[in-house]
Amino acid sequence: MNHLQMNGRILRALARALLCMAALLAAPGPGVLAAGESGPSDSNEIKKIWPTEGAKGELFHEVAGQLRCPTCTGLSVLDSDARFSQQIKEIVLEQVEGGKSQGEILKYFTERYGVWILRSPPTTGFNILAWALPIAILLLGPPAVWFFVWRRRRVVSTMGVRPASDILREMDTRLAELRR
Amino acid sequence: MIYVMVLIGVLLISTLLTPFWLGRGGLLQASASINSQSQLAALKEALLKAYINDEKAFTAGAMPSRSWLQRRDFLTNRYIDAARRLDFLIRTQTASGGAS
Repeated sequence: MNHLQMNGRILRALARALLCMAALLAAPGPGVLAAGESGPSDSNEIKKIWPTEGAKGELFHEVAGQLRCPTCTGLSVLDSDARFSQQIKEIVLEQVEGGKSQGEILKYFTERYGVWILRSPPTTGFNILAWALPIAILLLGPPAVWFFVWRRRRVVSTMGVRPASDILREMDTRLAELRR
Repeated sequence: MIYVMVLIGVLLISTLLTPFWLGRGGLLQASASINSQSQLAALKEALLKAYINDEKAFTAGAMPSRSWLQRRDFLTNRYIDAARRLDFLIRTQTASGGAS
């Protein structure tokens, strides 16, 4: 095998590889999408219609709205179409259809993912600080700032000199006496 | 030429500052330079009398409005100045045990 034959083989292999890559990029199939965890789910899942009406639909919306999408920023699983959110919504729907209450479903998720999965921290135990602290800062902050500023105030000695307003009042009184 | 300019400058500054020397003891004297409580009390009374006189002149039409407003502000400021100096002297001289 001479050098020319070797170069030809290498070039053909490269061309085949490039063609494969171009084909993959031009028509991404379900297999390509499945590789991405946080990417949009396949067309079957996007078209899935979640219940909106009835008691079960309301419960589903209520619960899914309270659960945090793990792969998004600031979105609930209800508002997210990420694969992980779709899976959580399916579990929520299963449990709603299984007759579980809101508390039971939320407990199910917090036991598996921790309180982090909830969009609003619970108002019990240590987490109550997350609610109480901002309110406390809002209420106690201004008085605290005033108190510290008041404590650091400087007392300026005027050496007995009255403010101009007092002197003007005295002047008006004396002028009124002189005008009589 | 330079000497003439210096001379004119000195004369000009002297003219501007003259009232502060010639007016010593008068209305132009700064109250801060008076160390007598009785003198300050007399100054306050003199300022009030001047105020009344000017007010009368204005009311009688002998003084234009603009001049009266200027005089009123001047006399009021001088009164405040004298009163504050008197307050200070009363405080310090009483505290030190001496009074003039």
